[in-house]
Amino acid sequence: MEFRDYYKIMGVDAKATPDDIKKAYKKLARKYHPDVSKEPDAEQKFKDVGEAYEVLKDEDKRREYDQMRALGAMGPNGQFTPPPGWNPGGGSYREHATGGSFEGADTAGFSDFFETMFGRTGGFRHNHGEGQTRLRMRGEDVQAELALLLEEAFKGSDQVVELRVPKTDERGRRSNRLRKLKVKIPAGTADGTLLRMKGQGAPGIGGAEAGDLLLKIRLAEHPLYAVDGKDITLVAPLAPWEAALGCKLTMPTPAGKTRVTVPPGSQSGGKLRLPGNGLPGTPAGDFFIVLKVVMPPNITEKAKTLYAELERELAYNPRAAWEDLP
Amino acid sequence: MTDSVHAEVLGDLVAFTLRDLCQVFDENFVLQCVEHGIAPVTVQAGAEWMFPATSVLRIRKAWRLHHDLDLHLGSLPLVLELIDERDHLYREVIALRKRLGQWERD
Repeated sequence: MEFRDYYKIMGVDAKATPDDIKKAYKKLARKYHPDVSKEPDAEQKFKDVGEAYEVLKDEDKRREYDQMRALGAMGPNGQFTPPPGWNPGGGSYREHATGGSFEGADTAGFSDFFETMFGRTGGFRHNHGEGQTRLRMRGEDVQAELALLLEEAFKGSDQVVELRVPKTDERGRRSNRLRKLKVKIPAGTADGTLLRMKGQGAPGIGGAEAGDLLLKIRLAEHPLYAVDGKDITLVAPLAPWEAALGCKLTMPTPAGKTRVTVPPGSQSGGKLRLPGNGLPGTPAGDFFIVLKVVMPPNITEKAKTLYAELERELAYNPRAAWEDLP
Repeated sequence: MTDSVHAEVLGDLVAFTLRDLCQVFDENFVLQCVEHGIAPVTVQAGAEWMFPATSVLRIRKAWRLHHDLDLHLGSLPLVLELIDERDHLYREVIALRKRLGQWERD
């Protein structure tokens, strides 16, 4: 088990005051909150910071942690080993509402190190005086992301998703189990689409219904197409004479090849729109072709003569607008 | 073992009642979200509030920001709007960079 330096995670000194720790937590929580942060591992960092704060904000837990840290209980392999007979802290209960907060209020996402030190907190029993009442609570929703190729999203596909779903045993102890689910992705699924699989989240407590699995679709970057919502854009290179005279192009699209007419006198940067040929749906997206005039790489002597003739014929100055500038 | 499950797209065609939402969120929080304009509702013929899935997702995000970062409910509409705008601009920058890359490559 790896030792976790909570002070390092929080970016504070071991002598930091509770106020310093609270300030550091708020700053890092804002930085790594998965709804705010764009960092790829924000959720894990947010959990790490939450775990560190759970310990350092609590006077008793912090004292226990500091003792352990001072002992430097490292095994021969550099791994952390708690002293024999170490009794995980009682694990005070933190009441929390549902709603899928990222904060590790029930500590289910905390590390093995935390569990060894302090046990799992946030069990599912309320202490009411001397007795204990069993809670009835809907299971948590589980969120995951699934990366798809544009072609898979366009045509729809069957995907196998592997994810860890929390489970609770009869004593209220929490752990994760690996589940494999086969999910049918509907045709035309856009980047950022949320798919809900009812009842596939964490099981409910006390007979309440299970949470849902929410799967966020992410489209992998495509070498050819740019995708914005349901619209797809492709840059089409044209030879100068194709742009000048017009031409018929055979274009690749996710649905297969299609013929497109480029009108004579087309400009580089001009856009053609194939309505409804983007990602399918109601409404379907559009397919855009952006024209890009490309010069041929090898100019022969004869081609130079022809260009010179063209120059004389058109007498065109593409920078005419600059002539009036001071 | 691989279980086969049905996936439903959470878009505006899927809607939830207030009772549905209260299984997951605190009712008072939902009502405040409606009051602050965080979660648009549609009212059906029976005068029952229906929340499109996109509203539910906003309530979820609002809840997380409120709970995890101690954000005041009154400030959440502005925060959510700014996050939306930032996300939109982020996507646009990515798309434009990609297009620029295609333009400059050849």
